[in-house]
Amino acid sequence: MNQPLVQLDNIVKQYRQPQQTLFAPPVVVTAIDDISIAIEPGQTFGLVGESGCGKSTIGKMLLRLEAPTRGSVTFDGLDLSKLTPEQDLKLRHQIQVVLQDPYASMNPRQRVDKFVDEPQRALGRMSGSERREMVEEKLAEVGIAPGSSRLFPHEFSGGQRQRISIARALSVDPRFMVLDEPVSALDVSVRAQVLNLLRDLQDSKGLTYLFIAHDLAIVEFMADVVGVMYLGRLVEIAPKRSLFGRPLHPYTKGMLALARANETGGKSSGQIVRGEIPSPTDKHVGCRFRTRCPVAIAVCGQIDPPLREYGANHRAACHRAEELDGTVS
Amino acid sequence: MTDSVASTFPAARPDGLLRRLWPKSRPPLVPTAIATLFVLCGILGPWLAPYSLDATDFAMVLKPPFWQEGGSMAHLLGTDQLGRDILTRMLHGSQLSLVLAAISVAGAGTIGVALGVIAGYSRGFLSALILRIVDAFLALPFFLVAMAFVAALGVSTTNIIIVMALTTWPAFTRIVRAEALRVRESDYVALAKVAGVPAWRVAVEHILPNVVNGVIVMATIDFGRVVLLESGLSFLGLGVQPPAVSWGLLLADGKQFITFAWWLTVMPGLALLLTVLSFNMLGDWLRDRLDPRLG
Amino acid sequence: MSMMTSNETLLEVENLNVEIMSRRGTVRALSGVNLTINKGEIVGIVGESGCGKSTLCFSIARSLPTNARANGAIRLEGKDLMQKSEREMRNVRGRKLTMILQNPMMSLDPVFTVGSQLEELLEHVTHTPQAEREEKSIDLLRRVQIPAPERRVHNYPHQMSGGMRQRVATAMATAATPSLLLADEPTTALDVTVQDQILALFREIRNVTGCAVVMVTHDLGVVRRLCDRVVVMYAGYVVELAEVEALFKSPKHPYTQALIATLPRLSETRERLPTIEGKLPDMTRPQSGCPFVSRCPSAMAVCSTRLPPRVTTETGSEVFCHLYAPEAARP
Repeated sequence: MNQPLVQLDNIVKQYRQPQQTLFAPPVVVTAIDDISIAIEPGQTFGLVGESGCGKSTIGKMLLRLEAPTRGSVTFDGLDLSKLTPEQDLKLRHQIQVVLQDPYASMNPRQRVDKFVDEPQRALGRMSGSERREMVEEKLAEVGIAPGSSRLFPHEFSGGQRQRISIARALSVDPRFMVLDEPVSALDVSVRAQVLNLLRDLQDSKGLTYLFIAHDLAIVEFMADVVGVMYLGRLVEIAPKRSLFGRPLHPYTKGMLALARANETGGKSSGQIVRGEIPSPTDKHVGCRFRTRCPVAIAVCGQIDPPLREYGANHRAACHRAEELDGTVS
Repeated sequence: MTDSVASTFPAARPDGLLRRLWPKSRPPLVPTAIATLFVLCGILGPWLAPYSLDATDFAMVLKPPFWQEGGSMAHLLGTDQLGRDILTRMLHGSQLSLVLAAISVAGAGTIGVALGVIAGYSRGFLSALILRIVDAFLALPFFLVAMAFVAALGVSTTNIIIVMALTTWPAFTRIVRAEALRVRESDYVALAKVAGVPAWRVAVEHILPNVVNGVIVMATIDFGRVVLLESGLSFLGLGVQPPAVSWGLLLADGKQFITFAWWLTVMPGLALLLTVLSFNMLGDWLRDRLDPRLG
Repeated sequence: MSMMTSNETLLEVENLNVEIMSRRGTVRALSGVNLTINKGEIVGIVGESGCGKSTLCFSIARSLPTNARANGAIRLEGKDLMQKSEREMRNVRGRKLTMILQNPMMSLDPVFTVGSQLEELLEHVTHTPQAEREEKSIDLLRRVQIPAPERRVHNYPHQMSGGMRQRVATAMATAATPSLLLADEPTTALDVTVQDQILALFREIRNVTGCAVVMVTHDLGVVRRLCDRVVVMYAGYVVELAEVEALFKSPKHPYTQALIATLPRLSETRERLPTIEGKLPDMTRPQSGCPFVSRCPSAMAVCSTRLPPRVTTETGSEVFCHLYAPEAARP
């Protein structure tokens, strides 16, 4: 298969804000500003960023919970906005999701077996007994004890719930999964179990993942290719080794320095990335990271740097990328 | 540090007899008892009554309750101007009040919940339309509407039920819609959409079960309110008509004798007060019990 | 050890036990907790769900829920807080002892401006005269590094970002220069870059005012970048106390070792992450022996029958583990 499984081309997402006063011009917030991502089959694409960067919105577009204002989202060559009913049904089971909050993901009044087989029930292709068998099989696959399928969610811990959510996602034999911060809400020791499970499943089933997270160490463990987002833009995108070994964008360098500090010791100075994350509604001229960038120069305030390639599929959006290549910050 | 992890706290006092029979987590004793009594009387009333409904006894006209001077054990709560036993009439009346209130609340609840779920889950025009209708209904003054209704369509049991249901459903819709709005934003609803579950199914399997708590509380409290409504209607002559009996009607009948035969109004009035109060208190207890945030 | 911490004891928790009554039974939230915090120290209390770290924090502030029972001693500057009445505690809280919570929207009233909330605090807690309050509020915001504080005093909480709100909460908590600042997961809901700034702010506050900080968190990275000393908790017990770098470089308790091992690391690539088998013991049922025995790779026979002793290792760490007990104590 030569073409990428998932392709986002020049995606733009804008929202209209409610007007402040009756005659004020409508405020348009650009939540995502020209993002292009390609994910090869069997790969994990790690998407990293902080609040307001738009990473979750990218995930929602792939799930068709949101539609881009401009640009196209393509899965296996099919444009998601132009599907026939048969194609729509086919994709419903090829693309699945696991969300962040194990307590909000499950209907407290629904038994686990009904939760796990809901996607199959929606497809309507299996009989009741086939579904029952499938549920037990999937639950076993994720390490949930047999016979617990008739229990309610509150009987399970956070880690178990996430595994049940994974079982649900697997129930329709998907090819691609959007994993939106799947371990962020779990205990530290439980994260390892779920991450191992996700890796094992990928290896055994050839799954493709979009792994959305804010913890760089976890992304390093899971991903093959990493994209760093800031305020709706991809500021750097590279294969994992390249990104972590040779970060080019000052924001990436800053995030990496913070993540490394957890492992090397050394107290927080608050100086690595200063200032607040700007609101997506604020207008900016030039590079959107300029207000917090430790190495910003005059041109950064005038021209928005485009993503440029710096060898080996490594792209960054910074005027000084080449100049500062090899420095820590 | 000691080796065992036995509690370092003094053992709690063992529960007394009453606490064991009626633990704190059970509903409040007195309101439950009264509400249960009302329902029992409503179901069994006519059989429990010492006399038949229309038994008149001109020898025992306007006799006071048994603990008063001139009262007798034959008529525990006294008699009216035709010598009819008040207790009997109250027991019969409770049946009609119970049935009318139950059907009205059930009907209003069903319509209200259905519309509330639709208003909460759908967006745009439909949701706004339902809300405007709710607002319109809530603006109507109940008794004027009732009078208009009765004037146009006449008095009948069905009409009473319809009128009472019409004033009760909007509150259900409001509450259910608010809850539905909250549930709609849940992750599990988003997951259902991703799975391709059709909207009606999401409403029934996900929205409805999670808004039910508010409905139960509302229905309990509303039950008392509807009993009171029906009494008001009957008092005004727009509700239950003789020879049928309801508490409101008893109040109306006894009104003219209030200065010297107070028991004709006070007995049914007291019963009404206690019943409505009990249902209100039960509803409060239910709300506290069902609120996931408390305890 | 930082220059800022002294050897003077500020807080002494002695044999603290807390039980919480719930529908499922009585949960033993804290068992025999002993802890000393010196003046000006930053101590991290770290552990996973159910370890009791938040319960410990709320116990020190004497703000446990009504279905909780506590016994033991909690001495702040020599005086036992457990003996104080609620009225006396009200004088302690907000002055000597303050608290910052995870969600600043809980501590900030959404219908009042930040300035008016600060001024109210200045009126009732520090008794600042009316004329000086506005200026003092602006100054408090400046101290927590909020830019343009003279404008920000007029903001409502919802007009501020999460990091900004946490700074305001910190300003409120430090207005009366407390001796002890308790923080319950204050950076958990914040972005990484903002978190770093808030941690630096706590250190700055300690350096300037000399107050001690107790930081409750599940994030070992936060502990490493902020704290001088760490307390590791498991199932309501303290299992290890150590200086931060000593803990990370050479953790002693098997739970601490296992926990640190499960963390994904940038510095090394692994195919699989190590996990901790088993699960938490049932905290409604009293157990004899060490709480970690069912999951410990080094468990011995004595671990199931006797609570581990407190042992001070040669590095100065304290561990509650039979593995480190001197030979004479072992059966």
